[in-house]
Amino acid sequence: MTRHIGRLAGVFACALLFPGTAQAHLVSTRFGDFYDGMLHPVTSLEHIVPWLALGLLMAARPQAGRWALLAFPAGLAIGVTLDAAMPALPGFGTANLVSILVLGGLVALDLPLSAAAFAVIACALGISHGYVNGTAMAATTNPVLFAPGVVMAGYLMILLTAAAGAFVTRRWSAARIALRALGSWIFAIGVMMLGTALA
Amino acid sequence: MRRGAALLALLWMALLAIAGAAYAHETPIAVLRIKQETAGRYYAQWIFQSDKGLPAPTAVFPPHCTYEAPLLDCGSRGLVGMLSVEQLDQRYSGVVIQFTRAGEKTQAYTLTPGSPSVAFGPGGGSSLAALADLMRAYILIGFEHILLGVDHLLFVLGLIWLVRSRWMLLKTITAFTIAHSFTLAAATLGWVGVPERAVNAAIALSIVFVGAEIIKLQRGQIGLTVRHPWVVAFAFGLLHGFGFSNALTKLGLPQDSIVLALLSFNIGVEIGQIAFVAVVLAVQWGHRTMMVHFDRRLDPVPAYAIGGIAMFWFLGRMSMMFTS
Repeated sequence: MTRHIGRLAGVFACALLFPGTAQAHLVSTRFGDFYDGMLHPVTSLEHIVPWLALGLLMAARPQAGRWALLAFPAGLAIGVTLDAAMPALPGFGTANLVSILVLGGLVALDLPLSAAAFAVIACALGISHGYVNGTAMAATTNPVLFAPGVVMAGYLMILLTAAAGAFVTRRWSAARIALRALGSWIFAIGVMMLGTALA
Repeated sequence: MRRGAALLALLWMALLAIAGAAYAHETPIAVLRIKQETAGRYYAQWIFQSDKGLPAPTAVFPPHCTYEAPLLDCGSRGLVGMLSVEQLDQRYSGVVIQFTRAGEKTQAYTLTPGSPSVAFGPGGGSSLAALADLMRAYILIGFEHILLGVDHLLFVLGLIWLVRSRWMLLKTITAFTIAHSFTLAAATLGWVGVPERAVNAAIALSIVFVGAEIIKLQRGQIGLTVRHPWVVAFAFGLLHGFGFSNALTKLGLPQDSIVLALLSFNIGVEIGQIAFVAVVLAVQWGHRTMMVHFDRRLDPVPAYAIGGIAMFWFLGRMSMMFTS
């Protein structure tokens, strides 16, 4: 398990060497900064795909995976705060794309991850995605509202995806195979997105 | 499961509360009043802007009109043509234009980012497209009002917490909806009048009541809301309807389509309310499915948080009643 985490850390470290590809896009719901924060991550495939992948990973191992429900939102909060404290750090955009590969691969391989592994992966993912979401804040945005909006969106997305996945796989054993197939597709999407970004 | 969903929803609302929602929440709408003085000359002024001190949006009048605030001169052609408003999406969610021609009743037009302009003709009735625009605008305003209305959402959250059966929850939420629709319509149409500040304070108190009921339930006592949830929801729904009407009457309603605007606003409120209930129930289901358990010591936290936030609002709103 430690070996797996070490490899993952290596992949993230390599990703940070690439130039940053974070494309901040401003999103306005007109309902205030909290709802803007909630909407922002769900308007970008760079966030939606890995978050769904994390949910699917949790669905395969609900007992251990539920620790991600704590670690991922915490990571997101840290990431947004980090952006406010140290803006324009390079590499997070690419790391997010690499996270699609990593999570897709983990879902496809159906590795028996421990609770600690889930917590580490989810927290690292959260920090990276939180940082990129933080870059979307305009000068007038209130971070005290925007950041919790991002955190809430992350929590809801992984919880509901994981619950739906766990619900289906408990009832139909074939769904587990479908889940792994989905993981391989996510991996392929990650390859395409990363390739496009680095081309 | 309920604790988790409630904690999450509470966080949601606590954060919205930070945004200054401790008092009656503001709907960011601006109002432009245009009144005809003589043939071709009008008096045009922004009469309601943001409490937060945001500047008024910029009105773009038909090209033959010249505007030097507050006078609008449109010459012999009069105010005929397209009036649009800029910066709608950035600062305000809507603009209401109250237009009074000499010797005629005031007409109200609602502009939104999706339809930021209105065409003034020499007179005449409303087309189907205009009615559809009006419905869309007021549904959006209603939806926005409930999503920013932390106090209403907190009350609904308390009901979800207290009502254990899904069927009873459906009846309870329906009772709340019917009740607030009654008073919203009655107050907006001017059949009853209730002081806004007193209503806002009473709404806060209704949430304190729900918080106390949750504490009672946790101590094994069966309170009124647990015994007859729909009755309590109906009674307090009447109160919350007055709160909705305060927001709506501030906008100014089109006098020739008042029922349609009212209905659309209510539809928007219901859509928002259903969306909120759906999210809370989905979170409960998600926690159940993922076997998420919370420490029992956290049990009283949501109820005290609901009661605490609401009491803070109550005191703030009471002080507003007596100090301004």
